[in-house]
Order: sequence, then structure tokens, then C-alpha cells
Amino acid sequence: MSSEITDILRASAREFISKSVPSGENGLEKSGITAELRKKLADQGFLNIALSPEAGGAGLEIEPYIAVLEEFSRVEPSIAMEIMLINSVAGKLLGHFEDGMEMLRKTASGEKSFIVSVPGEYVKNSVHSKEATLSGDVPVAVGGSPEYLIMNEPAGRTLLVRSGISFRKFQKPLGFRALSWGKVEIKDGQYEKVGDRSLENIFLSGINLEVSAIALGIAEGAIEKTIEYTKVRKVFNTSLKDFGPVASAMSRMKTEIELLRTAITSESVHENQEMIRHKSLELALNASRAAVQYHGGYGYFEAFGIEKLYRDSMTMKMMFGGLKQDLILHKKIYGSESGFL
Amino acid sequence: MDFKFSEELNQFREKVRKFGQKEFTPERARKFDLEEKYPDELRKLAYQQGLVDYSDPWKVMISIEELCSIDPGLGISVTIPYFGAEVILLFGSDMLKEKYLSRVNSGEAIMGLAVTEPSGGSDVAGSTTRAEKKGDKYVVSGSKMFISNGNIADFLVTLVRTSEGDGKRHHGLSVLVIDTGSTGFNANKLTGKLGVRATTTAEISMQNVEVPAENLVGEEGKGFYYIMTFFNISRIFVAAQGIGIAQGAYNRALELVKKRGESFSGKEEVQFILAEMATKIKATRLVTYEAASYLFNFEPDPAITSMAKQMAGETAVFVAEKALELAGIEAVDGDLERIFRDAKILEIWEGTSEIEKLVISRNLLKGGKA
Repeated sequence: MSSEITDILRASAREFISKSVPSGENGLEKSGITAELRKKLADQGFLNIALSPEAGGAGLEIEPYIAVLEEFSRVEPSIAMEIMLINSVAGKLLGHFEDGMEMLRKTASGEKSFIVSVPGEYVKNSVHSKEATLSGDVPVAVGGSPEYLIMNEPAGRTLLVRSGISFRKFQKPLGFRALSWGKVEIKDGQYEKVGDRSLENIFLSGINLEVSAIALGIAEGAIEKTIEYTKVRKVFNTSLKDFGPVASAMSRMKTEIELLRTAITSESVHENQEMIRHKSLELALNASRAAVQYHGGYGYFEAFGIEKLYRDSMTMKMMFGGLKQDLILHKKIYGSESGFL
Repeated sequence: MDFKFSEELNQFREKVRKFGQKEFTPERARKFDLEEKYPDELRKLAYQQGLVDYSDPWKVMISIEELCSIDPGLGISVTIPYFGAEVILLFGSDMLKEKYLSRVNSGEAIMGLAVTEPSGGSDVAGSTTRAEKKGDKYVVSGSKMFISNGNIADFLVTLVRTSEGDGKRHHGLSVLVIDTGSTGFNANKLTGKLGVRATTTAEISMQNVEVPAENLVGEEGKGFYYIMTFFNISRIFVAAQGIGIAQGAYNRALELVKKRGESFSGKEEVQFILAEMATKIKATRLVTYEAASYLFNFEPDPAITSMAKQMAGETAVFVAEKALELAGIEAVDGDLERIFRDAKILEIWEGTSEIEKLVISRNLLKGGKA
């Protein structure tokens, strides 16, 4: 059962998308999330939705927060990802010291923006520090503008780098193209350690429900558009929906989506979060792949906004899936370390 | 049963591979993908070096496979200028062969096939582009959609409706060779494809385009059969694209797994993924070669051809996705993500996987072999 506040926020997110997010020709992918849009998101309370009041946020509970992530992901997953990076990554790391809190406040109000290094088992951030400065390379970072960087260093510390950042942007990354992706070169950057929590740990197990909500939103967006399309598209003088395999595939995926939604809004959500994350990532990829397929040639073109969901869901799997993630799930299922050979 | 290619074909494969490795550099592949630009210079170069040899279908298959494994967008681009030629070869007059195919054979011209329409991708019999006979010419009006080479081709082998055909939708269709320079012919390049962005795709509109009556391929009213016959040929070459794409993704994934060392390659989960990828590629290659050997011996089997095409599409997508999963987030930019984007079209063009399944099952129900 969703609360009244959740319902209101869902409706507000939908209204925001229809009024402020460019549609057609793949929506935001061409312009990216601009400073203006970021400001609007902040003004509407989305950018800081789950941050504490001290950080300028509304301090909302997880349920309305992930509902907002899900709503944005149905149409523009990049916005949901940006909201998550601010609230669940920067929010968990920067709120523990005064300067960090100030930075968080400015970020949540849209005045400042940041990038974060994406941890991965085989992503090697090669940096070396001397006294108060740091130099080196970060192979993959994502976020808004590179005004500051949150990164994990090989030793396990999570650092905030405020200066000396040179960001070489990828021209056309696979997914979440409205965000900035690129490599970072740091030269004599001023840095400080932020909290005790590692960035890798946050990506692996600290944002399960947020990741699940984004993946679920992508699956929903893909399948809803496809259900509508198969009602109106005719082949052999017959609506696509009237063909058994098409209707079966859509019905099966819609059922899986609804079951996942039930799981993600249930009281036992925290207990099952690893499983929900695993299933959501898988479903997003399957649903968006099917959506491209049933849209045929049209689905293969950016203008329909379908192929983007396929790229984004694959990126989600690369970013939030993987062998380490599998081990967490195995441990959850078996109750002890399993499947490591 | 002999699973070995001749020494000549093995040497040809090696030659194509070397060409691809030299010319299809990651930088070049990336540039053409980003700019959505057709690599005409590479097409000419491949032709000059004898890598696209239309006189030997096995060589065409090998070229497609090898070049697509290096880069699918560039590989398809340089092997596609002859697309639709079999319709003229099998059913066209000597005049059409001489006037049109000889120019493609000499590398001078590019051709294409215009069948799909905006309202019906898979529904070939539902074609509505009209051709009305007036004296010694046809006057053609209508639209075609997602036409490969549409905006660069010198001529298109085009499916048109010449009559209502005794109430049966697939009757009354004919094939015309239409010069793209004709008055009333307009090709609009479509941009923003998910993948194979070096290839070019267009939307065609024809408004009272006059076509000489002698440009009719075969007989009036037989167009549907000609196109279906063509698909039974072209699907084998499309399956070769799928094998190439899958092989390219697999090669890169294997390299990456080895590079990461024992801590990664020693994990059984990783080993199982590699094994599944390799097994699917091998199985797809075998069924495709089987279908090709029937076809090239003039005994085509539509069910096996469609099995090859369907399997190749699924294998390309499966292997590309698994390769990205193994690679992880660092592959968000680079060769593998491009191959992933390229792979999906294999399940859509030249008959979607759903159409292939219908062809397979209908043939099996009529007594075809599995």
C-alpha cells in the first residue's frame, strides 16, 4: 500500500516530466541535464528528496523516494540516476563533516554539481597522494558537471577531490547519456577522506532499493509503451496484440513487473532487497530488449525513445550487477559464503 | 560430411581478416559510428582488393563473417552494395543484368532492395506502393521505409502493387528496378539508429515516378514469390553477419578474461559464460553453413535457412550482452558497447525472429526436416 505522500510525489514527478523534460528525439540525451533543469528539479524538491533537513532536503522515507526514482525512470532514467547519486551516494558520504554538508546543500539546491568514480571489481583507479594533494587517473566517472569528484582509491578510502580535476568526456557512452561520463585525470588535486564508508560498499549493498526502483521504472516504461504500441500497430491486417506470442510476452513481463512492485512496496522489502535488486536488473534488460523487438524497425531508432531503455538497462547491469553482486545474493540465499569457486 | 573449407577459402579468410584488422581500426569504426557516415572509400578499397567476390557465395559469407567480427557497421557497409541482386540474377532479363548488375559487379554502382513500407514491416504481402502501367512505362507512387542503401544506391529493386490480384493479398505484386535519379523519387536518410550506424538507411517516397516497362523483373504478379525466394538467400548472409558479430564480441571477451588473470578466469561462473558463448557461436555457424551448402547447391531449405537466421540473431545479442557483463562498467565506452548496439538489428531486419519462427514451423508442419 502506498502512502498519500507517495501518491502525490508520483503525480508530481509525472507532471514534471510532461512539462519540463524534452520529449522526442530521445528526450534529454542531446542536451544532457542542464543547470537549468537541475535547478528546476531542486526547486520541485526532487534533487534533495531523501537528504536530511540539515542538508537542505525533505528527509523523506525510502518509500516515496524510490517511487520518485521509478517514475522518472519510466521516461528518463538519467534523471533518476542523478537524483540517486546525490541523495544516496553524496548524501551518505558528505553529510558527516561541515564542509561536506555545505557542498551537499549546494549540490541539492542545483548550485553545484559533481561526478563520482564508478567502482567495479576490475576498474583500477590509479592515484597517489602526497600530503594534501593527489594525482592519478580514474577510468570511469559519471554525474553532472565535474566541479568536484567523489572517488574510491585502491586502498579502500573514499575521497572528495575539490580541485585539479581534468575530465575527458566520453562522446557517446552506452547508456544514461543525459549524464556526463568520462575519464578523470587528477593533478595535484586537493582532497580529503569522507567518512568511513567505502564507495564500493555503497554501490554493492547500500543502494539496493534505489537501483531496483530505477530498473523497475525502465521495465515499466518499456512494457507500457509496447503494450500501447501493440494495440495500434497492425501486421497482416491484424493488431500485434492479437498474436499469441506477443500477448504472452507482454502479459508475462507485466506480471513480473507487478510482482516486483508488490515486493518493493511490501513491509519485508529490506529483508529481500538483494533478491529484488537482482530480479529488477534482469527484468529491465529483458523488458527493454523485448520492447525494441516488438517495435521493430521503429524501436531501433532514437526518436521512439525505446532503444534508450535497452542501452540504459544494459548499463545498469554493468554498473550494479557482476560477480561480487552475485556473491552477496548467494550469501543471502545460503546464509554463508557460497558460489565463490 | 566434410567440415573443412578448401585451402583457397582458408587463405581467402586470412586475407579478409588482415584487411579488416588493418583498415577497420577502432578509431575508424568509432568515427563512422559517431558520425553515422557511410564508408564509401573502404567499400571501394575492399572491392579493389577482391574481398567482396560476388561470383563465389562462400567467399561472400566468409567476408561478411570476418569483417563483421572486426566491426559490424563497417563490415556490413562494405559487403552490402549488392543487396537485392539475386532478384535480378534469378528472375531478371539479360538486359537488366547487363544494364544494372554489371555496374555493381565492377564496383561502380551501389544497389538496394525496397520492400518494407511504413505501415507494415514484416507484412510483405501488404505492400501498397502502386505501379500503374501506361504504355511502355509504369508510373509508381508510394513510400518505402527502413531501406538499406536507400539514399546512396544508384537503383533499387522495388516491390510494387500492379493489381489487386484476385483478392489474395500476395497476388498482384511485381518487382521493378527503379533508378534513384528518376523525377519524383526522393530518399530521406534516417538518422539516430541504435547500431550499425555506418550503414545507411532511408525512407523513400515516390510520386509519379516513371519506370520503363522493360525494368519489370520477371512477370507481373509474381513479385511476392521473387522476394520470398530472395529472403531465403539473403537470410543466410544475414546469419553470417550474426556469426561475425558474436565472434567479435566473444574474441574481445576472451581476451579480457585472460588479461584479468587467474582471479577472474579461474572462476567457474566466468568459465561457464565463455563456454555458453562459444557453444552458441559454434552451433550457429554449423546450422548456417548447412543452410548455405543446401542453397549454394541449388537445393535451398527455407526452414533451415530461417533456423540459421533466427539463431544467428539470438546468438549475436546473447554473446554481446554477456561480453558486456563480463567486461563491466569500463566497457560503457568502446568497441564492445558498439558491438552490443549493432547486434540487436539481427533479430529485426530481413525477417524478425518471429517471422523466422513462423517460416520454420510452417515448413515443419508441411513435412520439412528439423
